[in-house]
Amino acid sequence: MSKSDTFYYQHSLSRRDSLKLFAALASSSLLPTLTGCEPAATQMVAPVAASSLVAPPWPQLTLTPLHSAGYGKDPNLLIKPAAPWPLTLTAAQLASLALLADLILPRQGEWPAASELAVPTVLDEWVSAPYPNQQQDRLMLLSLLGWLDAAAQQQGLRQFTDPRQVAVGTTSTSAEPANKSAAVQSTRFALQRTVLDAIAGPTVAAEFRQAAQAFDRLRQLVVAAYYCHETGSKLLGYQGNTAIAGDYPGPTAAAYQHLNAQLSKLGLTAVT
Amino acid sequence: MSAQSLTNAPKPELTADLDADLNYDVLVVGSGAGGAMAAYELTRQGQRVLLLEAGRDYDPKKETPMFRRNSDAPLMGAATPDKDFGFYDATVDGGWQVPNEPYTAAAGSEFMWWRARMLGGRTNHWGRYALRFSPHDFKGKSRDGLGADWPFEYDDIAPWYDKTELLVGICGTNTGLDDMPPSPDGVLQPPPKARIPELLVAAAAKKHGITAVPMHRAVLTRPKDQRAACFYATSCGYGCSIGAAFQTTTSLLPMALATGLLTIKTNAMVKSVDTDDGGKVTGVTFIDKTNGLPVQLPARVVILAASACESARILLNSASNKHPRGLANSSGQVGKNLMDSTGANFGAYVPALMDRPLYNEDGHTANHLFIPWWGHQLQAEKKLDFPRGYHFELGGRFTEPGAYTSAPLQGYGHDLRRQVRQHYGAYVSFALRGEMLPNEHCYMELDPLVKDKWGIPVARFHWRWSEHELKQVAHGLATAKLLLETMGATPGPLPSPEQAILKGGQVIHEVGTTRMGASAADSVTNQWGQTWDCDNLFVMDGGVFASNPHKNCTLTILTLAMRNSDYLARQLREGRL
Repeated sequence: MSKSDTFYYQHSLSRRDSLKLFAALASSSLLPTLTGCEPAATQMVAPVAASSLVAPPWPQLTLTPLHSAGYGKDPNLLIKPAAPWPLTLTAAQLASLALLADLILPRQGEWPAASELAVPTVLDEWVSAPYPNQQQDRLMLLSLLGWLDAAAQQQGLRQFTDPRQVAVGTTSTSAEPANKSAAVQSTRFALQRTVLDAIAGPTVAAEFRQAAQAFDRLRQLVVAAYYCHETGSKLLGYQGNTAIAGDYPGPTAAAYQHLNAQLSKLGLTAVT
Repeated sequence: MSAQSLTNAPKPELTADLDADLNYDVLVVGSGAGGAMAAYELTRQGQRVLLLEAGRDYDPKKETPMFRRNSDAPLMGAATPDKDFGFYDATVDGGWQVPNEPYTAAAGSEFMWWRARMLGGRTNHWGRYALRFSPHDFKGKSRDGLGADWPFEYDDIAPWYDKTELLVGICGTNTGLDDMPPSPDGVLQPPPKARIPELLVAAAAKKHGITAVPMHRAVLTRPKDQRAACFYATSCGYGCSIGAAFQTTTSLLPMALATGLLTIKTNAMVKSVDTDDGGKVTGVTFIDKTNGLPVQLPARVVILAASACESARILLNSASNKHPRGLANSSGQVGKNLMDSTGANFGAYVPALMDRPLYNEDGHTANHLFIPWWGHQLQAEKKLDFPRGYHFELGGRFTEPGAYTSAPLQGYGHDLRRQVRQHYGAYVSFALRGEMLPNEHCYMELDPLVKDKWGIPVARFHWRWSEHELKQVAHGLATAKLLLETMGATPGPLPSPEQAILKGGQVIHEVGTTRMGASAADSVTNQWGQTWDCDNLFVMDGGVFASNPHKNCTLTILTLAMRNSDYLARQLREGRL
């Protein structure tokens, strides 16, 4: 399938834009023809329990080190550079990370999906940075993508995330794909969850540990980027970064009340 | 005195932006806490000052990223080798490494040297913790036989602490604790209210007879001079455009400039202090970083305030026939007695703080409460196996989300959000900051081979913690664990003190390399920061510290610089120099 046929995460994609894009895809002749490339849901193997999944070997990637310049020791702190360094993820990698990010933090109620808060954009900037920690993360995340694809192949999927799957946050809209397509997606999600369940939980079999570690790193980065975003930060309940006239007001009555209840449970005396 | 009136001095090659008719009585090297205070106090007393700064000009009013969010920064504001303390940290052209200006460590030693190359130096980003040293801090050796006493009593410096605190603007209270000598009424500004996690720590500490009290910080909670009171937003480490958090670039330097008696030359990297055949100081040689050329400037008096290790480096690079081991080094003590503070961190998630009610906990963005050293009496009774004290700085609040999450997250999907919320503001950490004793293994010297971009030999560090520091850290870790358990947390296993102790220099409290003392035989300067070997050469940075009490060095650097500049101004008025 050609690149132009597929959904790709776009860095400047607002939620509105992504809906429009999906609507455009849905209304075009692309989606129906695309399903032709996909094995029908019934042809996919039934999701296997995590315990029966065989861990693929951890990919041994050789990445070309990035040598772009960093932002230096005296960057302008007031204006964010448009692109501090060249972005390196391919459209397919970016789409995979966008879909993974949306599995990690899907849309729910008032909460937008990760891709709607530009999380994939932050991930691309992160893994493309020329600093040692970020280059280490780049190797880890790209290896994880390869590993997930190998694991997904055991499930009868061609790859873990299909670029046409579109970010999770955009599926429950009026631009809902045809029922048949939705059924395919639903089966796909089940298969993806089978793989993720092997590496995302508190207890992980030894052969899955490397993948679990990498997934944990991805989860940390997705969570960080999500809550860093102004919307995520507000939804979490961060109330600072606002100028206060006069003295710092300190804790609210509810906050003191909660503390006092905890102190009494712990057998401690409040200090005034 | 004008530059030309020094007939015997070499004719200066002044750069275009230095007026050849420039008049000055005193040449100051460095614009951080010591240098800016010297410039302030000397100009206040009518002396003309030329101040050289190795870094670039810097104006917090125009450059501070006030209200900027982590999401507005590359990499969510994360620390990188370019910006070691995060994108928004105020430090310019510095951090653990300065481009083209390396330092080295001897085999088996590791030392981290934080530098800034900017007007105002490290005062632009410091933690603003501003605790007075106490009477016993100045006389440690008299008490336990270790290290060195300072050549004055607390009572000699107390009035200068009063003046400095008033000028700088310190919020906090008089606690009556023996580790925190009181300030006179009206000196301290009111501290901000304690946050919930701090109150929980205070309650847990109280159970064990340990007291948490308001931190003293160089942050205005009331307006002063041209500076506004804190509005409780934007980390002080970013710098402070409204001048609430003290930095010399919004306070001492503009005040000194307003007298018309101060001239500042930036991008002037001092290489050496020059002396005549008699060994007397005649001026300095600096590299004009804009063109890489050396410039000689005459001076009647030179004050080094380039930071402890940079000033020692300059002295060691100023050797002459009269001063073969380096200038002001007849005692051999220049570069020796290098001390940092001990540092170690320990923390845990506290169930009692999970899912607690939300409110704005930015406050003045650092400790509202801390735990001062409580063990003087125990040490006097020989109940502790280490000689010097420490304090705990407390971490834990609803911070602005950034690039790192420490919460132990599991799974994926919407439930992750519940976990994130549950852990938000529930992590409490104890940062130990303790007094280190000088030892023979900790010092700096010139590297025999390595030079910086300007051809100046660089500093080479030697470092080894002694058992005093390791035992102190072990005590601190065990205490932090006890307090966390008292709060209902289940902290993980304690690291060994060797694993936990931060690297030499990492706390950025390096002092002692030009220590003051009562005798020319074992110290570099007298109690006025005046070098024993050259009476027209002073040191006014942390290098002069005879010991390194655990209370953070900047307030005392500022106080000594004020006191010693007052002494210098008197000497000049009386024609003694």
